[in-house]
Amino acid sequence: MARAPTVVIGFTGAATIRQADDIARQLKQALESSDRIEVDCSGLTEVDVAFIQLILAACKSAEAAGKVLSLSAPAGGALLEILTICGAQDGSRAQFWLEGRTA
Amino acid sequence: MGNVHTLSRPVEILTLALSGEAFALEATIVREILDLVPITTVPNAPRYATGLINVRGKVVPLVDLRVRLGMTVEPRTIDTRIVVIEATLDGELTMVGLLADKVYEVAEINMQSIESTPKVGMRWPPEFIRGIGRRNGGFLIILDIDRVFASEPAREDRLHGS
Amino acid sequence: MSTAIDPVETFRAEARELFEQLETTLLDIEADPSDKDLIDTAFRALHTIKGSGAMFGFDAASAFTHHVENAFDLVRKGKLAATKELVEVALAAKDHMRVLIEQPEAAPPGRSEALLAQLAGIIGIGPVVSVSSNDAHPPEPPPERTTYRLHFRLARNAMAMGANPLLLLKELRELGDCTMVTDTDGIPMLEEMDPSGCYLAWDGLLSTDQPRSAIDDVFMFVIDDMELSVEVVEPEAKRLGEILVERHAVSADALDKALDQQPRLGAMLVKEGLVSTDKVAAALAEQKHLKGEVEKVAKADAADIRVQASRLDELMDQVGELVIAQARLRQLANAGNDPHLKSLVEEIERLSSELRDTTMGIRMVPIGSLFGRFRRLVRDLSKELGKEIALTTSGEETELDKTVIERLHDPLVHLIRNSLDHGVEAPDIRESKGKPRQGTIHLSAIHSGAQVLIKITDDGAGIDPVRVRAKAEENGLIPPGAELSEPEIFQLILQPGFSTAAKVTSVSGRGVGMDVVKRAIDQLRGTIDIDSTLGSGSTMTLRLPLTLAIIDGLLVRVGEGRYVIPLSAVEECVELSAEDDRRASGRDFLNIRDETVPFLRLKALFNVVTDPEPYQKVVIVSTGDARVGLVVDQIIGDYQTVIKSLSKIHSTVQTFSGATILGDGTVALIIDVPRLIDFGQASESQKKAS
Repeated sequence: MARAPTVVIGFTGAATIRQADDIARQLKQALESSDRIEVDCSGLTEVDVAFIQLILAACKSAEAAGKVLSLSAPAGGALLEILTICGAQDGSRAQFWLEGRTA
Repeated sequence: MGNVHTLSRPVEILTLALSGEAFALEATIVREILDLVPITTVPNAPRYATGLINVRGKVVPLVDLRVRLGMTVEPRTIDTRIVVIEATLDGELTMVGLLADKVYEVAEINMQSIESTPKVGMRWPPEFIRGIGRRNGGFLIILDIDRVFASEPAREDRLHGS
Repeated sequence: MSTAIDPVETFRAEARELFEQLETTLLDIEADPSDKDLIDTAFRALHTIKGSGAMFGFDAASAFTHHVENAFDLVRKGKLAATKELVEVALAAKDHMRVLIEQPEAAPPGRSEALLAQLAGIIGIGPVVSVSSNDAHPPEPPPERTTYRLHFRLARNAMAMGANPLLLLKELRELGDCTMVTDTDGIPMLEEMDPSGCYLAWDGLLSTDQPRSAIDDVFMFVIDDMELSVEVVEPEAKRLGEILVERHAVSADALDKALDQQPRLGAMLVKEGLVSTDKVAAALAEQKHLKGEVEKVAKADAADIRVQASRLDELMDQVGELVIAQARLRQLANAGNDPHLKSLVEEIERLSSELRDTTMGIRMVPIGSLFGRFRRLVRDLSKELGKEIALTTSGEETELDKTVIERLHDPLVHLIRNSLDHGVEAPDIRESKGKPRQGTIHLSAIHSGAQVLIKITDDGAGIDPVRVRAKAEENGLIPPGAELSEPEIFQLILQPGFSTAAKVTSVSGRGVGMDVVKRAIDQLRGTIDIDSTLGSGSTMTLRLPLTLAIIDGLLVRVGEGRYVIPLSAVEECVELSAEDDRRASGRDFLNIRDETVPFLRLKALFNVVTDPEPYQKVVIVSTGDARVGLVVDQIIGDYQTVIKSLSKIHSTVQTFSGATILGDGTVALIIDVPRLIDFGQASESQKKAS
């Protein structure tokens, strides 16, 4: 079976509970269409807990299906700020957020 | 508010003599009764409060109620006592010593038996008197201590405060 | 009668000011809802009210304010518009907060809930749970620093209902040192997820000196259906395994088994599938936090301890009593002939004097903390007045008794407000006068002997002595054409019934004048000097004693009465020669080293009628520039003395600042030198007039 190319989904602007349904749909589509998914968060200006949960859920789904979900770049800007407030930097996914991928 | 006596329970009072008349204070405000102690004169003080005394390490003003009530002041005798009370001065609880020619006793009086102060025919400023009681066949003048101290400074404060 | 200040009262006083500021700010917001500074100001005021309210035990007020603060936080973040409705509710809420702080027992029942419901309606979330079953809770003492272990998980639909866990986390952080770690165990597969559901949970520690109720307050909005556990943890360095067991993340048995296998416990447990990586991560974070707390406690043990202010007051009182008892002991020893006793008394005297100094040292606080509080005042008020004013300070490290500092706040606020309002001109006017547009108010503090000088200097318009004089004549404070020096004219400003404000402004025109300041400074046994140059500015100089509790004095006798003259005012003592005494029947002047010094006979001032004594003494005292002699019958000696204030009954007696108890148990009055001189000169001129 030919490997599907890496799918990159970029989020820009706000990624909050108000956009949660859209984001969930995009992530689901990406997970269905490829087994290598890269999430580009560099254009985000506003992030909340809903977005973080969605990415974590997508990671979980990807792992369960033997796929790889990574960040195009270590979290920065608005995302990093929210991660810090959440205490996610010290959490189990710290490596994922700060290095873009799980080892 | 001093004239409303709805309480039917007896109230404890301390009876004392001032220039031959019998007066009474609510016993609950009385802290202790002292024999005469050295009195320090406060120059230029109000005439009813020219002294200071030491009550257990505290400096306490000494008030001569007889002056405050406009009575004749008789010289001190072997019976003269200082009744230390706690009065509310300007909203602040303050210890005050009261000179008494003689202290009789702590007694109970029924508030219902107290008659309100007659508007005329009184020798004392009526605002200082809570009412007239009867005891042992004589009159007993029940003082409204907070008003005895409150009226003058309060009046002054109102002028300054506005 | 005591000089101690009730901390709750101090808080109330501060809160009052905050409420004033808050109200002004809210009204400004109403006029300009887009001003971010104003929103911040309102938010900060609410935050301070909430925080200090909780600290002083006004839990109901604090809990209530918390919600209003939340609303303004939303506005600050652009998530809520500062509508007229919001300002309306906020103003009503402000009034209610004030009641909750001033007279909690008078707060109408249900008022908190009603206002919060209105607020919730504006914010757009469901009804708020009740603040507290009992709004009028008695204030509790501030608790000590405690470390809590927290675990919380919001209701699944909480975020959909408008709750934001980030705000909760931020608030927890504001309570103290907070380490929170996300627990991602609850995150489902993407396919099973409700995108707006709340799946994350948080674990961690909070070390705070706020009461436990402050934590509950954070969760008040979201408490329905949430998981919340709060338990107290002793800050001690713990092993990871212990933490995991304590957190019920792993059973003790399983831990023991894993421990058998060495080497890295965390990795082991995860590998064994006994515990999730998140649980280990949270425990690791906790370990770090606790270690930090332990270090902090250890450091605090070494360097500082926190003491309740009331205990310091008690200590000072007790030292005061000791000083009095020691004076009695000295008198007893001096009466006898026992050399051993005398040397012991000297020893005790030295010790109690050292103890007094140390105790006073503990109560000394740098004035900088007070100065800092005026920056905001100047900022807000100059804005309100449309002026550009910079506040500069110097001498912040100058130390004063904490009671003096506390009681200086209000008079200084008043003086600064005055400078802002009447002193510094509007920018355009300043420019037209060739001054920089921005005016400056400078606050400085400096030690000067046993006193502290605090100066408030502005580069404003200055005070016009001609106008002051006219106003004083108009108000009947001085007879027309009275001969007065410039400093004397300026002093008129401090008289009751004098106010130079041509128009009443919200800043200083509240119907209270500088006499209020003077009274406050008088109560601190201080003085105010006013210096001003028309057109270039004014300086108010406050001279204050370092402490209120104890003074060194000179004990003197006048007739049979004994009086204490504060040593700080005494320059020297001389004999009153019989010649001076006789000659001075009309003009009471003394010639000291070719300088004429007027003198006052205390006997006459105090109406003491005893026979004249042959060897009268003159105590030369100085206040500011004036030197005056006080004639006494005898100088008994130096006397260290504890000041007891006089009761309200003697509030009309201005010549004494207080009283003290002498060695033999009698009371002696402490002379208030500046006021005695004023009094003496007044009665002198009366004598002349009649």
